[in-house]
This record gives sequence, C-alpha cells and structure tokens, in this order.
Amino acid sequence: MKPIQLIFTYAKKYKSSLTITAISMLLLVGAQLLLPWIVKLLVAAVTAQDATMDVMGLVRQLTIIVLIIYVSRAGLQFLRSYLAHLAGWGVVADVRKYIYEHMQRLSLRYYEDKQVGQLMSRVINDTELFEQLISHALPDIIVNAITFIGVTAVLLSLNWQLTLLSTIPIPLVLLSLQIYAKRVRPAFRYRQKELGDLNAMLNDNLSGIREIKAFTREAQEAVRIDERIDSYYRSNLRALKLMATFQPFVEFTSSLGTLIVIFFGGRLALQGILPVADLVAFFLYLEMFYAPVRNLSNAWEAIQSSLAGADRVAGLMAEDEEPHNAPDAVAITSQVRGEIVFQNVDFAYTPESLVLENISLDIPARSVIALVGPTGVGKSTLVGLIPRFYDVTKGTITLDGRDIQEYKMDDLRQQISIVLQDVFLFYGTVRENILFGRTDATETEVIAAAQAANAHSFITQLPDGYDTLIGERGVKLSGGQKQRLAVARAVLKDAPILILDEATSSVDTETEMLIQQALERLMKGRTTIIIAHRLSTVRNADKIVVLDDRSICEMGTHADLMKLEDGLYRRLYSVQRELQPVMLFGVN
Amino acid sequence: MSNQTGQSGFRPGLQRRPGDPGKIEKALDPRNALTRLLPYLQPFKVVLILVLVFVVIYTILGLVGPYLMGVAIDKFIATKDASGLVKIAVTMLAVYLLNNFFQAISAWMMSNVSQRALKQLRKDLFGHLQSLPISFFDRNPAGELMSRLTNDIDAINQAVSQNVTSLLASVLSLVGILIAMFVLDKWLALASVLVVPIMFWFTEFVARYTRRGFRELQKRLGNLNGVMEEAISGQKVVKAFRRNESAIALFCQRNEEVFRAGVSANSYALLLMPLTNVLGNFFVIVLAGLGGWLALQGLVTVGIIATFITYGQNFIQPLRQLANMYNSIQAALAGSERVFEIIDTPSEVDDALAIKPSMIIKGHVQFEHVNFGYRPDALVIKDMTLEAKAGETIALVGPTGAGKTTIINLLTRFYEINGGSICIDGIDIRNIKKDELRLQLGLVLQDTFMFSGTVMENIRYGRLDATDEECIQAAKLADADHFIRQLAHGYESNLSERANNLSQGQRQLLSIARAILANPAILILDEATSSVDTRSEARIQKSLLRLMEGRTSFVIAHRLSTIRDADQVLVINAGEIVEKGTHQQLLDQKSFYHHLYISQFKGQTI
Repeated sequence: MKPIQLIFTYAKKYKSSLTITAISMLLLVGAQLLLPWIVKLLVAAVTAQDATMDVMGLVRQLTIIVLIIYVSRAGLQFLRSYLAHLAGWGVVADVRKYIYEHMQRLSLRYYEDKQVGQLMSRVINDTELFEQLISHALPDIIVNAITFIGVTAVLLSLNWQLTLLSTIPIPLVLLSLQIYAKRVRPAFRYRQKELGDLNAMLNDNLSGIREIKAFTREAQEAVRIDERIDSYYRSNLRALKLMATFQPFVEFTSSLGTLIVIFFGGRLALQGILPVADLVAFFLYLEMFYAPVRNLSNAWEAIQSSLAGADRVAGLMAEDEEPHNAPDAVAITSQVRGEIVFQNVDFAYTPESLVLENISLDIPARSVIALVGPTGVGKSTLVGLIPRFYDVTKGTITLDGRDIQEYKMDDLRQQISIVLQDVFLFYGTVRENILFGRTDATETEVIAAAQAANAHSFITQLPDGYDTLIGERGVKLSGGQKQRLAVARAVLKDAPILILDEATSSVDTETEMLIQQALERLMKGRTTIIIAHRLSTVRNADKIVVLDDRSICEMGTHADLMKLEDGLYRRLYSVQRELQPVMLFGVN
Repeated sequence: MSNQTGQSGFRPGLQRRPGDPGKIEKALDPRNALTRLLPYLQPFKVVLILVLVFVVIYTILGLVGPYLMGVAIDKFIATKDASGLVKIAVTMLAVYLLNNFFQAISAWMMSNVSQRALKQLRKDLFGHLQSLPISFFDRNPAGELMSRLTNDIDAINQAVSQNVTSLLASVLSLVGILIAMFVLDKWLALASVLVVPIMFWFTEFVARYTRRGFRELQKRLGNLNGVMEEAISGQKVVKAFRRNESAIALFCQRNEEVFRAGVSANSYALLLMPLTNVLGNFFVIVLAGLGGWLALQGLVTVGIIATFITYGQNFIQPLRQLANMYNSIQAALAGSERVFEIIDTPSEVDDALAIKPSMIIKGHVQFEHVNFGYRPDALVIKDMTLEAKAGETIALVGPTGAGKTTIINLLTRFYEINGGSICIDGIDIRNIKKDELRLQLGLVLQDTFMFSGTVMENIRYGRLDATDEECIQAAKLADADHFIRQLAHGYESNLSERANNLSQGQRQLLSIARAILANPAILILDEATSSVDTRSEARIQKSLLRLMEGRTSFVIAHRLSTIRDADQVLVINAGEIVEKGTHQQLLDQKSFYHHLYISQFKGQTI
C-alpha cells in the first residue's frame, strides 16, 4: 500500500468530522477576511465627514457585527480543531491497533533482528505523525491556501497596482525560507549531533567510572570531555549566530511590505486614486498576505515527515504474517502421544546461510532428549521448529506420524509446553502470570500447579501472595523464582510435549534443587526436549544429541558418548566438570 | 530471540509536546541559585552592558515604527504632503533596518556570552564528576545521573541563551508601549490596560486544565508503551501459550484510553487558543469602537487609532512570552541548584600525609582488624584480619552480601576503612597516593565496561603509553588476539556503546588484556558466573591463570578449579572470615565448607 493511500483508508472512517472541519475552515477564512473590511468601512465613515449619515449608528452596528464575528470565529476555531483532532487521534488509535494486531501475527523470524525500541517507535512515534498530518498539516495547508487566494482577491479589488507592488517581498520570503532550510537547519542538526556525542561520551564515562578510577584515568577523561564540550560549543555558537543573522532578515522581508504600501499606497492616496480607508485596510490585510506563504512551507515539511512515517508503517504492514493453517488443517481433539520425528530438516533465517542442515532425529513418545553443543549451533532454533515458531526450509517434522504443518497451528501449540531460559513475566499478578498457562483454570488448580512447581511457599511469602504485582514494573523476583513460575505455567498447561531451555545463570543450591525437583515432576510422562547445560540432566537423558556446526555430530546415551575416544561430548564433559561453577555459596 | 528488554532506548515519557507546559519545578532557594550562576557571566560584564544598551535601542526603535505610521497617515496622507511622505517613508525604512540590525547584533553577542558561560559550567561540572568518590556513583546510578544532568543543563541553556534578552525586551516594550499609549491618548490607553488582567487570569485558568490533560495523556501513553514493550519482548511466550488475542484485547483497551486522553487534553489546549484570540480581538474592538467614537468627537485622529491597533497587537505578544519565560526561568534555577549541588559535593580526598615515592610493590597485603560500614551504624566488615604473601592466590568465597566485593572496594580505596589498617608491603595504604596505589592494582570485573572506541584503544586503556605491538602482545597473552582478528576491522574495529557487538566472554578477554598491559603487582578478579559457553570459559580460565602468575591475586571465586588451586581459601560470611585454609585443609576439617561441598557434588565423581 502506498503511504498516502494508507492514510486515506484510515481517514475515511472520520469523513463527517473531516467534512465539518473543512466547512468550519472555510467560514473561518471568511471571518478573517471580513474584519479588515469592517475597519475599512469604519475609517471611511469617520473620514467621510458626511453629515447626512448616521455615523454613530454605523459605528454601533459595526461594533456589534465584529463582536459576533469574533465570537463565532472562536466557536468555529474550536470546532475545527476539536474535530480535526478527533479524527487525527482516531486515525492514530486505529492504525496503532491495526499494526499491533499485525505484529502479533508476524512470525518470530521478523523479531529475530529487531530491537524492541525500534518496533515500539514504529507503533508509537511513526503513527503519531498521522495525527500531525490530519489535525495540523492538512488543515494548515487548506486554510493558508484559501486565505492567500482570498486576500489576493480582496487586495486586487481594492487596488490592483498596489497589490502587484505588494508581491515584491514574496520572492524574498521564499528566499529566506530557502536559506533557512539550506543553511540554518543543517547547522542546528549538526549541533544536535554534537550534543548527542557529548552525552554519549558522558554516559560512557559515568558507566565506566570504576574502570576510570581503577586505571587512574581521571585526568585524561577530563581532557577528552573538555574537547567534546569545546566542539559542541563551537557547533552551537555557529548555529546560533546563523540564526541571529537570519532572523532579522526574515522580519525585514515582511517590514518591506509595510514600507511599499506606505510609500506607493500613500502616493496613490495623495493622488486621490485610493481612499484613506482602503489604505488602512491594505495595511491590515498585508500580514495575512505574507503569513500564508511562510505557513504553507512549514506545513509542507510536516506533510513530508508524516509521509515518511506512513511509509515506514506501510513497510511494516507489508511484512508477511505467520504461516497460516493449511486449508485442510487437521484439528487435534485429544492429547497427542508425543512422538516427534525430524526428517532431513534444513533451516535458514535468510536464504543464504543455513543454520541447521540435514537434521534427522527420532524422539519416541515420553522420552527425554538432551541437546548439547557450543553456543550458537542452533539448539534453540531446533526446538523452535516444533511449535512452528519457524517453518523448516527443507525436510519435514512429524508429530505422531503426521507432518506438523498439517495440524491447525493453535492446536499444535496447545500440545507443547515451553519453559524458556529467560523467563518472561508480564506486568500483572502472580496468579495472572500462572493463568497464562491455561486461562480457565480454577484457583485450586493454580495453587496445585504452584505447589507442583515448588513455587507456592515463596508466593505466599510475597507481600500480597498470589495477588502480588510482578513483571517489569512490579516486585522483582529472583531468577530461581521466575523459573518456578514458568514451571507452574507449564504444569497448568499440562501438554504432552515439553521443551526446556535450561537456565544457565546460577542460583543457590537449595533453589537449584527445588527447581530440579519441580522439573522432574513436570517431565514425568511427557516427551521432553532439553537444551542442557548441566551435567546431571545430560547424564540421565534417554538420548543425548550433540550439535556442532549446523548438524548432529554425535548421538547416544551418556555411556555411549563417553566411549568415543576423541568425541566432542567427552571433551565438553571433561572441561565442564573442571570449570563447573561452585554454587554452594551463592553468587553476586 | 535474544533478550532485548535492556536495550530499549525508547523513553516516550520524556517527550514534550507543544502546548504542554509540563510540570513547573521551583528552586528551593532561587536567590542562592542565581548568585551561584552569575559568576559565570561575570567575565563578560562589558559585553553584557553593550547587549543591554542594544536591547534598549531596538526596543525603542520597535516602538517608533508604528508611531511613524500614524504620523504618516495624519500629517502627510491626510494633508496630501508628498515630499513629507517620502521623508517619513525613508525614516521608517531606516528605523526598520536599524531595529533589525541591533536585534541581530545583540542576539549574536548574547549567544556568544551565554555559550561561553555554559561551556565553563559544563567543564566545571563534568570535570568535577570525575573526581567524585565511588560512593557518589553508588548512590546515583549512571542512567539517572545522566538524564538529570542533561535536562538540568538544557534548562539553564534555554534560560540563559534565549530568555534573558527576550525577558528584557519584553519588559521594555511593555513599559514603552504603555508610556507611548498614555502619551498619545489616555482614554484609549486605559481601555487597553483593562483588558490585560482578564487575559492573564483566563490564560492561567485554562492552562492549568491543559497541563493536567497532557499529564494524563503522558501517563496513558506510558501504560500503552508498557503493554507493548512486554508483548514484544515476550513475544515467544505469547506465541507459545497462544495468547495473541488477549494481548491484542489489552492493547486495544489501553489504545482507546490514549485516544480519549489525547482528544481531551487537546480540547483544553484548543479552547485556550481561540479564547485568548477572542480576548485579544476584544481589545481591538474596544479600541476601534472607542477610537471611532473619540474620532467622531474630534478627540483623536485616524493615525492614532492605527498606531494604537499596532501597539495593541505588540502589547499582547510580550505578555504571553513573559508567562512562558517565568516557567522556564524557574526550571533553570531548579536545574542549576542541582548542578551546583554536584559541584559542591567534595572530591575524593587524597590526604596522604607522608606520600611515599612510587616504588615497585612486591604485593604483600595485610588486613589488620579492619572495620568498615557503608553507614556508620551498620558494619559490613567486622574486625577482619588476613594476610596474602607476595605472589599468593587468595580465593574469596561466601554467600551474596557477605562482603567479598567490599573487601575489594577497601583495598582499592574506593571506600576508606573505619578502623584497623590495610598495609601493602608494610606501608599503610592511606599513606600511598590513590593514583599510585591503583596503578599497582589490576582489576578484572565481572561485567567489564568497554568505552566506545576501537579495540586497540580499549586495550591501551591499561597503559596509555603502550605501543600497538605491546597491545597486540597483551591481547595474544589474553587469548583475545584470535577473535579480534576475526572482527571486521581487526584491532581498529569500533566498539559500539556498551560493546553490544562483543559477547560477554570476549569482553572479559579484552579486560584481561588490559590488565596484562597494566602489569600490576596485585590482581583483583571477579570470576564470571553468567553463561559463556564451555569453550570460551576454558579460554578465559587459561588466560586468567597466565595473568595471575607471579602476582598476588584476590579472586572472588565461583569455580571449583580456581578454589582448588588457590593458596588460601577464605570463607566469608556476614563480614567475617569464618574459615580459612587450602581447599584440602578445609575439606579435612569437615566443617561448614566441607558440608556444602559434599552436598553439591554428591553422586558425581570429581
């Protein structure tokens, strides 16, 4: 979708608001144009010295008219802005909702190389530009364009020669805008960059203060910062000086108009061609004549940046959604047995580089498989293929003899519990976080799950028990506590297949044992795939799969693999035993 | 998906919007803040006086313009005096030109002065920061400090560079316009002055609601961001538990709230603008009506009315500015109060009485009855006595919070002990200059900080005069050379902020290289506990052993091999050494250590 199209699609819903906005804008411009005209009438009446006229009555009438115009203008202004904002924010809310829904449906593959901040900025900042566009930029463009045309018409009707003369400053106004865009703004941008650099250095410096002091580098650091301060100072001064030189120039271009009207208008008035009243009106119209030129150019820039935002949003919308269910997808009505078979599976995030190559693996129902290997060999990717976070590039994965791509995706995921290494808790109560496993679980089931996960006792010690708020903004839980909550989630879900990404960060011995115990309970009677880091888990697995460099290099029980004289597993095992963290004392 | 929560640089809460005056902060003692700030402007007294003069000149010139216009209408156009009109037009041109000229000059000079003053303030502040003791940084986390300083300096900058002159100009033109109006016609002037209080009261009234509305909007936006950040960071969990729909529902609810808050906040703001305009225009109506009436009576001329209308418009502008400036100057004073609070924080003292000449330290460390507490009433280290002979490796083990890190903070004099003494080679460390002392101590911490710069620069941090060859040699000894060469630009590769482009294991190897280059007599290590894969772990371990050779080493130990190979194992609990000896001795004693040791390795053959 083209960005402009995108905006219009969403704006359509607010047609009536926008129509009223447009009408009130027209009326506003009209009111704006009327005012100087009334002053003109007033001046004409006063200077006419016509005894036959009821000048006093006219003055009274005009005053009342002006009053009415002002009040209704205020009303119109409010109406216009309110409705424009209503439409603007409405569109923003709609677009945000749509993008967010879209993001929820995107494949995890999309999230792989994106930063949270980057994605958030797309949903929040880029969409906010739409509000800019609909509530501000577009109305501005329309109002100013109409005002400009209206004023030109009025001025022409007053005196065409003087009108033409008054256009002389317009090229100067345009020129000044040009200079601003070409010279002054880049100077300010550069200053901003310098400031960013200075702040980055300072941030660096404060974060590394221990290193600085340990290596006694205070003096050198101060010099480095002084240099940055100096260069920021220079760029800042340059920008400010440019601005100071430029600003009067802009003001002068407008003053020039006044001068022209005084000089030439005055002469025309002297010659009796232009009534004094018209001359006064001319003065009053003059600012309305130049301002739209400036405003139009500003509004144009706002439109540009909004369109850039819309472009990025459109780009996100164009991302492919998660693979859909096959048209004839099979529903899973009861629990599967849990036999998983990988047949010659290849996987690549990007077409050029394979992450997994020719993986063939047979996981019998209710067995325990441990995946072992150096960091970055694709252990997490391999387990991610089972719930179809990613789809295989080549080969097939079957569950109970049927290709997993033939199942309905939701049903497939219903059969799998995952306990990740990096447990993610949402902002909410402990109960809500456990209920994440199965929303319709009863209170008794939640507590039973927490007990099975050895989490119940620490939960009851939290300030509000199961109602304690946790997550980013809530009570901070320790790594071991988080893990037990994740286990409780999985217990509640009660799926026949279990995927464990074993935690590597150390917890104290007691917690370690509690977790181990909870996991063993959980694993009972389920097909379990563990990304293993600890010796004990590895040793007890039914099968150990050693991955190295994209593919399986060794497979078998602990005893089998230890027999391989120069095997990778044997080497890893012996090194690991040497370096095993001593957990008994806890760690910082 | 890697854990990206920590990298989010998105802080929507800090956005400022037009129309949102934000929360007004006030300085506790504005006068004091001002007197502290003024000395920074002192050196530029002469320039400042000149600026003042220029501001007065251009303000007056600004007032003369509309007056001349009135004169032109009354005297020359009405009387059809062509030559006079030419003269007055030329005069007006000259007035406009001079007005702009003086405005430019004074703005130019003022930014020169203010930026110089700010530069000095920044240098004083940041320079002073370097010299503050570690305890200051423990109290004030870097992130918080950073955002505070940035905001405060920015507020001062705003006030000094923009507001000082415009404040002056605003006040001057207000006074000037008032005088001019009363001189021209007192009735018209009186009428105009009456409008002012109404406008002021009204603006403030609506502004209060506007502020409240925008604060509400910020809060709601914060909620929305929270929901979103969670859903993005926890995407895998959301998908695994098939909770996309409920995540969307929650988002929609928050989204709706933002929409409503946005519309209502803007409504208040939108009300403000037309209404103040009405009032502003009301002023013009009063002038036109009253002026028309007075003109009919022959009391004023058309020219005076024209002049008044122009003045009237100029009158309202500075009034509005004054209200804005008041807030921004308040913010600046509050900001400078905090800045000076930092500048007034005493530097790290180095009151070494007898400063010993720097000497090669052998590395014999003794703690004699050392007492220490971060707060005087709570001792963290109690009567600790220990001895490390030159070249020995001491393993410190014990639960979190036992005081292991504190021992290191004391040895480096990041904190000063409250009682007892710490000696190196028989010299009390309080008699050694901190710089000299720290030069002899090599620190390899768990999460090593890398500065933005090249890999080479980061290694050279260990010793500034080291040649490239020496740096590379150190990297080789630290087993880091291999991975460095695989980086895009080898040793010249740039490390981004926080060195996100290096793994934790790699960062640790670099910090070992740094320490090798520094060649300290005493080494302080905090062994990594978080996961690096087994191979890197082995590599780090090997290069650490190489580094420890021939040096006295204090290791906060987590690994069995380290503890086993240490000359002494100190088991620390609650600020005290509870057991001491080699690994084997401790095992033989069958005590606390032995008990825990056995429980962990039960069933495993070691």
